[in-house]
Formats: sequence, C-alpha cells, structure tokens
Amino acid sequence: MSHFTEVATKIANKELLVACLKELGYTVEEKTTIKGYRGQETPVDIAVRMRQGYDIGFTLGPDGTYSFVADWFGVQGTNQQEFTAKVQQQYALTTVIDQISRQGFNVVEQQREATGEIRLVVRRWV
Amino acid sequence: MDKQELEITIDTNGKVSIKVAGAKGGQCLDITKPIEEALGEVKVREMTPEYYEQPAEPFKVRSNQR
Repeated sequence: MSHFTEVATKIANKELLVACLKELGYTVEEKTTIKGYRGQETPVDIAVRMRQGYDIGFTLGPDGTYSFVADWFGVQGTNQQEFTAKVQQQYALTTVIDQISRQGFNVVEQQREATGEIRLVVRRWV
Repeated sequence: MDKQELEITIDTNGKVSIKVAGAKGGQCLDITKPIEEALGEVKVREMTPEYYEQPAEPFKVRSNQR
C-alpha cells in the first residue's frame, strides 16, 4: 500500500451529473424550469422529472459546482436527505469509474456493503 | 509486469477513500491526483511506508510526528 486518500465530492461536471441521474433511473431535462408551491416556477440548469409531486433541479453556482433546488415539501417518493445522499454517492461512483477507465484500470470487484458504502477494487498491469 | 490495484470506498454522502497498492514513490500520486481533482477537495492524504522506499523525486510530505 502506498497511500491513502480521502476526498469530499463536489458536483462540478455536467455530463457526469446527467449520466449519474440517468443511471439512477431518472428522466432528465436541461435548461428548463421546475414547479413548486402554487405552480411557481424556478429556472434550473438540470431538472429531474418526478413521476408525481414536484420536480428536483440543479443550478450551477458561481463556484462552478451544482446545487440541489426543490420545493422539498411537495416532492414525493423521496426526500431531501435521501435524494441528496443517493445522487452524491452515484456521482462519485460515476466520476471514479470515468477516471480510472481513462487510466487503464478495470473494475474487478464492486459491491454495496451493509452500511450502504460502495466498495470497488480496480486493477491494471504496468 | 507489475500489478497496481486501488481499493475505493464511496460512503453514502459521496465521500471517497482510495487505497493504492503496488505503486512506489510518487507514482501513486500520479494515479490518484486526477481522480481527486475530478471529485473535489482532498480531505486527508496519508503516505504509507512504501512511499518512502523509492523516492522518485524530492517531495515535501507533512510530518507524521505529533
């Protein structure tokens, strides 16, 4: 073992964010609006269309990272904490797999632990 | 040929931990740095003894002593 690294994920790459939302099974639209209380609309860069209730969106902030936008009170089928955690984990996984593939690594093991953590083992020969 | 292996854990908040095996010297940083940069902010980076076996170049490392 040579070194150990710990990174807190920031959502900054649009293509990877869209890919990760699709992998989670959501319908995604870009440059649109989402509805909230009393039909009010707010513009978002990326919208996740929910089957029922209000939609969830993402806006790109001045720091180059995406924030979650929703009228969470009217979101059905998930909640803020669950949705945020799910997207952050999937985004991290999508990003990691994208990066390691570029470096010639192959995934040899992937599993979800009882704790909800995703564990990956990747390998390459040099 | 040498085998290089990474063990990657992604917790439920998207926090990623990477352990590198089989890379010596500064080589492991070349592997993990692009991943770290794509993800965000590095919280912790610890060098394990293998890192010092074959220093490829002078490199400043935070002291492990308290």
